[in-house]
Amino acid sequence: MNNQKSNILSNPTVTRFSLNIIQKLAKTLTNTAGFGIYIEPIIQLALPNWKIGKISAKIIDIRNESTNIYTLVLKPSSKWSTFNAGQFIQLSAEINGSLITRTFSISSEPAYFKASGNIELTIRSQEKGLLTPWLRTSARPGNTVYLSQASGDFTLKNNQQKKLFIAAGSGITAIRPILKQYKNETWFKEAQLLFYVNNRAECLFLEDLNTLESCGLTYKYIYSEESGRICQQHLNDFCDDLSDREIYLCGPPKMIEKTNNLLKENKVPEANIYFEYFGPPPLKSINVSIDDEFIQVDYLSSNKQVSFKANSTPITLLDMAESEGLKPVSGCRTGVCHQCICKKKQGRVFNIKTKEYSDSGSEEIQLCLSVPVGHVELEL
Amino acid sequence: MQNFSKPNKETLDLFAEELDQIRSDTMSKVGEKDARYIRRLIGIQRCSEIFGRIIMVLGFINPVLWILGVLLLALAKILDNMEIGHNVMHGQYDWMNDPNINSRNFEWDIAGDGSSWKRYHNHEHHTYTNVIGKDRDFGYGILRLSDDLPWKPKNRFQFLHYLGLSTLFEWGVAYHEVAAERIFVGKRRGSSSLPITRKELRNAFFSKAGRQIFKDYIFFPLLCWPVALQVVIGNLIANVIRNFWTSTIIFCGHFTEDVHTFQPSEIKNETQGQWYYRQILGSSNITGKKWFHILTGHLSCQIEHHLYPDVPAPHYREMSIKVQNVCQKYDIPYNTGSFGKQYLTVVSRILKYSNPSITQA
Repeated sequence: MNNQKSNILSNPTVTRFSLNIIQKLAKTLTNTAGFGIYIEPIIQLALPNWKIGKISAKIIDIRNESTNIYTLVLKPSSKWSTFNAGQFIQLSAEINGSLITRTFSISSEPAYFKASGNIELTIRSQEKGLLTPWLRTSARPGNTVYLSQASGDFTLKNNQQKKLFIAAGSGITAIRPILKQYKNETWFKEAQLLFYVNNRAECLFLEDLNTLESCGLTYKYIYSEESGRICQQHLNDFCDDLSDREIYLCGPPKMIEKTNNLLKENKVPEANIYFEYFGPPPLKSINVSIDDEFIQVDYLSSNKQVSFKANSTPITLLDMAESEGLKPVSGCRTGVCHQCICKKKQGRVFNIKTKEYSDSGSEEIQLCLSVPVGHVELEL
Repeated sequence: MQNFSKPNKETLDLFAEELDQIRSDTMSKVGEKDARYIRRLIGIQRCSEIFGRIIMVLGFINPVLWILGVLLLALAKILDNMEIGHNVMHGQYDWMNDPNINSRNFEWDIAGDGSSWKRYHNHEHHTYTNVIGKDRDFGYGILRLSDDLPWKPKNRFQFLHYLGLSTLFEWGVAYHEVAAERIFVGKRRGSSSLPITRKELRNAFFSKAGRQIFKDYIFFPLLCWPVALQVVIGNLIANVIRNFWTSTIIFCGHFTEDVHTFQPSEIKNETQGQWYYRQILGSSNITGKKWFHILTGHLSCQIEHHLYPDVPAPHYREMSIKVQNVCQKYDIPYNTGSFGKQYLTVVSRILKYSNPSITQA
């Protein structure tokens, strides 16, 4: 035992204790949750785009990829650390005074960030979306947006085994950086990519894939308007050694689900399949076992109650609150950004991400992931 | 009081449609400008607080600095309570999706716990405005301001009660829900819609009040120890200036001479139009310059605030012109006037009802 000497400042208990004191003091002296929150509006008098705890990023360029897909080139501030190929970030922008947050995969590779200090997000403009059409039509180079640090575990797992990548639509955005980052590795010589797009006009990253082909990648676009969605035949025609490969899937939840099932039929070990959902898993496919025949949700702070018959499609507490006219703070709506956290006083909820049922006690929950399974009381 | 006849339900339905139109026209304009406004105002308010507290301490160099410091701190508290806190906690800026400028998280620089205020103010006062027995903001259980309440001998001195209430106004706000739930004294009500336990309510009351007392009367004075007394007195005066100002503005909004009261029976099955009508009759406006409206938190547009409690308040000034036109069209009285005129009628109302009414005497 020779490391008995420990610095009092590096002791986690002491640090937590002093943080606690600072927070209590801030609450007492400023009625806010922290001194940073108190001074934020003062600093904003001089720097309107400054936000406490948020990493800003400058828009460098907005580049069209196809009729409804574009690439945003961003330069994050020095507070942004770095990322692994395949990870995602949350991007927030202030649209007409209102802060909107959504999650996007980083579509460029870490080597590009190292060289240029920039990252790219390749985004499909959603017809009824708030953020994605706005970024394309109203944002301008030089504007400020906000980023989270990168997260996500859809990254390269093993540098030896042969790999098959399957992407659908903008799912390619998480796969492109992996391909570009590792194009000189040995496994890349046998790498395969099956890429589903709606039609020829949407052949995203065609040039990139041509370049990668010269490094050894075999790829194929499948036009789902002509050949339909993923099926056993597509898989077998393209790849004859499925069970020898690590398989990376990225696309909409339905595609992931279907592909997973097909791969299981092909005896691909589950441990070799990695996937990334875009968005939360679809509610319809989730089987929530409900406690009561009628579910009641009480919004305590707003003095509101809703009750509905239980066998209708499950609905998250966030959607439910919004349809009641309440405006809880929300962000990515996929359980990543933790902005919609709310105190549940009591009642059981089902978490659609972890697929776990909560107990009935008081705890903080993410509204965008929680489906009520009985009488729930929320401090909302 | 003025004589007038209450419009029938059908007329009020049309009236409501026009008022709804004013609301949706305004909401379509709400956006970036409002976000910038409230952020800037919060920035200015916090600068005012910081400078106020610093300059007050420098009072030992020159007493004028002390006076300036007290006034700046009072200004900061007034802005925080009125244009910022009151309006943010009404949810007027919730659409910004900013976790710190949000009705759920905002807490103000006043003795009363924000959550408690939100419960009774937003629900009780804004729903049952001036309904006798339901809206305890009408006279705060202390003042007799209409013949709906029987006269008692203590009402003779109610002008003094009024002055006391104004001096301690923040404590009245803090104690309001605690009093209604008879937490400390009195017989408990048979039914209560309190969504938290009585213990939680009591703890929240003590916690917030304690934090405020600690801050203004212990922490900052001790921090400036040699001039502690000067800081204690300065903070006390700043709090009292704020108390008088908020109380005065609020009294001008609901207790001017022509403001009406209602019986619980009148609000049964009330339509939207009838509700709008009652809000207008139960409130009164004060005219003034832009800076005056900001200092009142736009409660100078009390009528518009009661019609549209969650519309960002700076829009009330513009809305009030439209609302007045609609009221004129439907021959509905719209109570407005200068600050001096409105306040005089408040004073005369308090004095008038300190004596028994003619029928009772």
